Amino acid sequence: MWQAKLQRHRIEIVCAIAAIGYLVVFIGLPYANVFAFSFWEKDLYTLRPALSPENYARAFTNDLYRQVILNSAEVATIVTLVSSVLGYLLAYYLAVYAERWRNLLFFLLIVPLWTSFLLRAYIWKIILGRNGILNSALTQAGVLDQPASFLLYNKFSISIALIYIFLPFVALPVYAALEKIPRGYVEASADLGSPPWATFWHVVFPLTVPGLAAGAMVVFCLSFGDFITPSLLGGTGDIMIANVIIAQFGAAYDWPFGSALAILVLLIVMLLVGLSVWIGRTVSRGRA
Amino acid sequence: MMDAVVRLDRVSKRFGSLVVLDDLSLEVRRGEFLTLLGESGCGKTTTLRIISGFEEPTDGAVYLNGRLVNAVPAYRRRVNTVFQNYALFPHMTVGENVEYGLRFDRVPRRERRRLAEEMLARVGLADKIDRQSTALSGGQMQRVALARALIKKPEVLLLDEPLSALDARLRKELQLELKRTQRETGITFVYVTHDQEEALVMSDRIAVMERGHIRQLGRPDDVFERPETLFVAEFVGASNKLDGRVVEIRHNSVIVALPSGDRLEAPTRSAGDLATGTDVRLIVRPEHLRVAADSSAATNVVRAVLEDIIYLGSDRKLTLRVGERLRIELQERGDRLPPCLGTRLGMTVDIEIPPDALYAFRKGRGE
Repeated sequence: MWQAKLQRHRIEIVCAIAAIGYLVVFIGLPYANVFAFSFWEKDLYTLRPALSPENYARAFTNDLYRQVILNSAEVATIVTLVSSVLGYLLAYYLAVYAERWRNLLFFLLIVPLWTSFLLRAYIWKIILGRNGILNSALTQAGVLDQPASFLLYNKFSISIALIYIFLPFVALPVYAALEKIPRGYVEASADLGSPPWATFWHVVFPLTVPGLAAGAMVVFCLSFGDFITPSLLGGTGDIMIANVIIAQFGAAYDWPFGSALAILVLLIVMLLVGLSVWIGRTVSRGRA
Repeated sequence: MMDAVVRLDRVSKRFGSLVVLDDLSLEVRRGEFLTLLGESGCGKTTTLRIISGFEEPTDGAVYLNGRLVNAVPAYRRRVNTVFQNYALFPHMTVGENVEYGLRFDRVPRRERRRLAEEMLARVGLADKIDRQSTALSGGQMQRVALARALIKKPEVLLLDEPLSALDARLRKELQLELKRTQRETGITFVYVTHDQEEALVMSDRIAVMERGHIRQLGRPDDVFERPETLFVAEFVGASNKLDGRVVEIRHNSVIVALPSGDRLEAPTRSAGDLATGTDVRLIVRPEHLRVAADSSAATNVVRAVLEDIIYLGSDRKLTLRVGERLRIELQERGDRLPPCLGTRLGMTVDIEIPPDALYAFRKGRGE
């Protein structure tokens, strides 16, 4: 009896084993490891297994870490909002108006994804730097007397680079969602007396919210935890939490504390993402 | 005519070099059920989209209630459409779909809900109001789409093959339901279909379209019984085609010789059109043919080989061969056929073609 069942569900079982195996090996074990580490103790240059809440206490009581986390959240929020708006507009243009330029523009949107992340962040140094492209252009044009220094090494430069890097992450899922909307829906809405903006608001936008939310979430998580961009383009006051964590695992040799911070970041991000999913669901249910 | 709800005046529509509508004029009378009938690509859907405002005519004028509306966008026209695939909004419930159009008529929320309930009750779906619109069957979706359009009380309701996605039985049922709704509401319906039976059942008038033209506009019995062109005769109803040549012209009829040597008399409805020697095509419906009891009495008799008898319930369909390669069909009630016909397969029978049932059209001219 159960053998027949096994026979029938063979493919399902193989898939399930593969999925569970992947989750255990690449997600479960590493996080369990980090989680365990976060309760260890550090004696000068040795790490000792323990069950100490000390690391978490330190993260909570020290203003510096709270500030860094808030800083990360601020940058991540700005990046998410701006890249959502710009990414949406771009996707809308591509899906609705681009017509014969669509493939070319689409290509241009995707090409940067093939280059290294590091390069995409570094390029902004060249653009925004003191002798960079932007400053040269502005001084040449006579807009500035001397190169501006406020462009680089601050939250502005970090945000710009992250927005640039993460824009496709919003634009692509929104584009996919827009593409899937049959023209019939838009026509039916107009047919029923809806002006174009109302059709967008009542029909098109709600159908793209899942894509937008998915994209925005990825952008938020990735920019919250990014360390390359702030270390390349950030100033001394703009350290983000990932930089601190890296430092704990590197220079400071304080793996337990680094692990505790990592777990905290994980919890915060999960909390925020869960909250936004919940809000999104409530809103779309209330309005649709 | 004064009371034309929709008037298309010499409308043409071209997409690049493709001519979809060619100088088409049409008046839709208030309160009628008008069907645009034709094969895909004949321009019927484009005509509908020009009335609704989704397409702009390349040339010509569109009037709604006597007002020129060429430049009026779709959302400002008091015209509503039931789409072929219904186009119900998937993120809304049935009730939200139905009341959607009322938002733009400044109807308060509670009133919208009440009207939606009323409209859904009318189509027999009152209990589905809070269902998700994607959870309905095809027939139910079709009814919701109808309710959603009717709630706007349109001047004209446009229906673009609304039943084509449904199975045959449901289609028959909904045909009658649509016709009844149209009669009860008094709303003008413009209905697009390629199904001639559907058109015959439902319409007050039928416009038979071909290649961007209306070939004939008339009541169903006009179109079916008195086709004006070869295309209409062939398209509406099943028909036998007999090609021949005019050999003699009489007062009100012509004599046509078939390749088999048979001679048939056909009335000339369009006088003077046919001269001796003209190639013509004769059209006759299977149900108008009769098996002749004995050949001496009747005129217009052809000798044919009985190839097959198909049982259709109360009717039989006979497949016959005239001469070398011409095949024709005859349909008749079983009890009106001579007995023991089944034993005569492969033998010759005499087929009588009443002259009244024959339509002669000049061949090789597309109108």
